[in-house]
Amino acid sequence: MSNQSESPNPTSSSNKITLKTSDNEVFEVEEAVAMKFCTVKQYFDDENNNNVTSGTSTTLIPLPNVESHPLAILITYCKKHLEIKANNADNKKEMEIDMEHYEREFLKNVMPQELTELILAANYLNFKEALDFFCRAVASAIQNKSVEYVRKFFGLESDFKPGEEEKLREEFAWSFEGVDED
Amino acid sequence: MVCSAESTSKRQKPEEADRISNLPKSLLCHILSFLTTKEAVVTSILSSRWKTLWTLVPKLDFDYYELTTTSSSAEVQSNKRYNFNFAHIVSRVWALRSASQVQKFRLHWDHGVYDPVHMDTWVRAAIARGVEDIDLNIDPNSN
Repeated sequence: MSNQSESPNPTSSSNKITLKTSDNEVFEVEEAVAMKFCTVKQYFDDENNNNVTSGTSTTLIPLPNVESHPLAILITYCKKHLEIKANNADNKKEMEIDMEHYEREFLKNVMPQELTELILAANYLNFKEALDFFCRAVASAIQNKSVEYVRKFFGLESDFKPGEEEKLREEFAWSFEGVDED
Repeated sequence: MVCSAESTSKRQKPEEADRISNLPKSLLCHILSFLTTKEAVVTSILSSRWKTLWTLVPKLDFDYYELTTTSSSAEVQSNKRYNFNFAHIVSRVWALRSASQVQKFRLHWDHGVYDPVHMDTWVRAAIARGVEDIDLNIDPNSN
């Protein structure tokens, strides 16, 4: 288990899992990566339970709710996640620092529109670390931002009746302290 | 022909339109769970879909300092119909959430007029709603 990620050994390279996205792209990933996606792991576990005949890894796992674009990003994120974990196996603090650094850089290349599909894909794959990471990213993007800013960020328009918004603003006045003005 | 097929599959989907906001409520709540309760409540004003979303977030996070900057701006307060103090705010939030589940309850009340009866009520409410993680920081001697 210790050197699962980058072994040139042909016997361990057989531990690849093939994923097929909704737009018919095929991804071959290492087992360690695929196992972070609990939905895939579950599929695999069920398969193993039902079919004890062979260990050949010809399994192709269909992911009808995931497109190739977010999946490619999640795989990159996952690989790095595992790598950082492996490099700092004995130092949790260091691991957290490395992870934070990586995540900060990572977010610079993610568009707000991509966050939606990444959250949906991470949720479908049941990849908890990624789901939390992207949800946290959205949360910090809107934290204490003005209402107009957040509406723009979400691509939303107010559909309140006249006066309703003012009433809410008054009722929850305490929550608007420290929030940016429009 | 091709055009019509194209237009039905991409129906009314402008680039920036309402994408994050279209996520299922459970995921939007998950996003809001990374904010304090005060920060989550602000989103009630975004649109009618968001109006009560914060009440479903399974995390409550109250901090006296964060919530009581309000009372410092007394002249602004006097112009308003409602007057808030920490205990009012927390009680009101509990009332508005009604029966939603609570996983995490964080309350830091180490300043101001501490009231054990309120505290007792909220902790009981949290337990009744299945709380798993309680983080209390109180100073019973403060006033």
